[in-house]
Amino acid sequence: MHVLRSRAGIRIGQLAVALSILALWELCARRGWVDASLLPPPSQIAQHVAALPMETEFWKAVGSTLAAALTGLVIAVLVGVPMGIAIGASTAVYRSTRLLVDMGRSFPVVALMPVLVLLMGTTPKMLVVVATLATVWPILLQSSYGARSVEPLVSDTARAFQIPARYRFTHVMLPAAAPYIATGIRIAATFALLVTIGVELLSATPGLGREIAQAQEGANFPLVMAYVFYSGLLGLVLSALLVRAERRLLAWHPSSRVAE
Amino acid sequence: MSRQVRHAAQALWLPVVFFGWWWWTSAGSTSIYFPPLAKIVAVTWADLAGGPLPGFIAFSLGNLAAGLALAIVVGISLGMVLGWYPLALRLLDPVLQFFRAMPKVALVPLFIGALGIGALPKIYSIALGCVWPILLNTIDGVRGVEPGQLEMARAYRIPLGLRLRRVILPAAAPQIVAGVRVALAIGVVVMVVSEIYGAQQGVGYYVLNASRAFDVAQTWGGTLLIGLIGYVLSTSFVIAERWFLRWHYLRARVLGLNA
Repeated sequence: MHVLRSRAGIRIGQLAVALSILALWELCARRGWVDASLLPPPSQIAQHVAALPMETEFWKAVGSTLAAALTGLVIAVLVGVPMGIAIGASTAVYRSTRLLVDMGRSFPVVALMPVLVLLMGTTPKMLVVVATLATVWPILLQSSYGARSVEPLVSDTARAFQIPARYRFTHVMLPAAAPYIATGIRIAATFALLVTIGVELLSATPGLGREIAQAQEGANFPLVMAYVFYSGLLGLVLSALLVRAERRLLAWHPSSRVAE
Repeated sequence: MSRQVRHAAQALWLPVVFFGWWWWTSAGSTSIYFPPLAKIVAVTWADLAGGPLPGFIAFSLGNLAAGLALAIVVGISLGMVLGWYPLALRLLDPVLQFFRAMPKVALVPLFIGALGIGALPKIYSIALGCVWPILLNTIDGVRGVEPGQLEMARAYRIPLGLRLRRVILPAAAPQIVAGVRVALAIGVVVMVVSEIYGAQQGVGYYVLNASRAFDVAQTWGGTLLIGLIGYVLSTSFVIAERWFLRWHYLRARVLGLNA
């Protein structure tokens, strides 16, 4: 077992485990031990994974999904951060809004899909509304936690010096809440993608979700899995980019200094 | 005014104003898309009292409970094994990270396509969505058990089974419960998606069916009902969590005072 103590050994071991899982899966699918419409063989999925980036259809779908999810995310940030900070800055406001915020946060946004399709049709605008509604809550909540994390000494000092509310927001609240907001945005980003893809899938609005639904209707199960693979990859890339941006933008903050 | 009454008033006035405002301003609404709230409530109430809704709610919640239960059993047992054997965890880590990143709602069509539109594919979809936060939190919880406690248990030669049940599981419980809380929210989403994608009953099907029939009041009503179900579930979970982990909160408070 001492081979597995070194770093390279671990890497080789991880690769071996992943490959044996794939091999076992392939065997099960080929022999028909599992339903091929549920778990198509990985070799066929890999073919589609390799072929998809050559098609313009694929990039169009990625583009519309990403555009809707990111637009929704940006709107959610613009609305959620100021509201969250306002809510977190005052205990009275925090207590008064808590019930409504709890209701909003626990609302499964996909359930709004039929209503929104009635109102707006299967349009990119509808997707943006869905993505905004899904992501505004984690951002708002994290911002309010961030504002509540401001030390009383600091906020009292700012108040004692009669610093105008505008500066208190930009120079006291926002910096203190920044790491919380960053976490909220990171959670919200993957969530935005997930919800957008889900609603595309259910409503046949153009995007990755619709491609999945169409591949399923055409009984092309390996293609379904290939799209699922790229959807997951998109989420991973997005959150990795956000983590990097967060490290760079928040390098000044004590919390990231401690972590280093 | 006593403190409790004041707190309740503080918590309740805004929701009351909000729904009151909605009720009031929509009262005379002739818009097709925004029917009066009174009408929405009346339609939903009729379907609840003598319509299909009670059965639909039972179907949805039954699937959610079964899927979540499956995810809890698999997630906790696998999580304890992987938390206990760090080498196994490290070897499996890339595979776990990869599957965790898969969008679970995107797999709903495969399940329903392969297994039909009954309850079983929905239960599997829900379980697959719920298992990841439980699994990862269990792993973290088991790995976070204080080494001192483990050494003590080993020194007294407490058998492994007992050690798992009485030492490791309680120490990891707060983290596991937090994972289940996240899983519950995911489960509700997957439940709704699976019923909108392909079903003949359930609250998601109810909303979709209403919108296909262009019954806007019923669509709104079903949507609000799902929101209410989500809210009641997450609130009751938090209450149950506080009760179930009361020893943990008590301990944290005592330790916090000592520190």
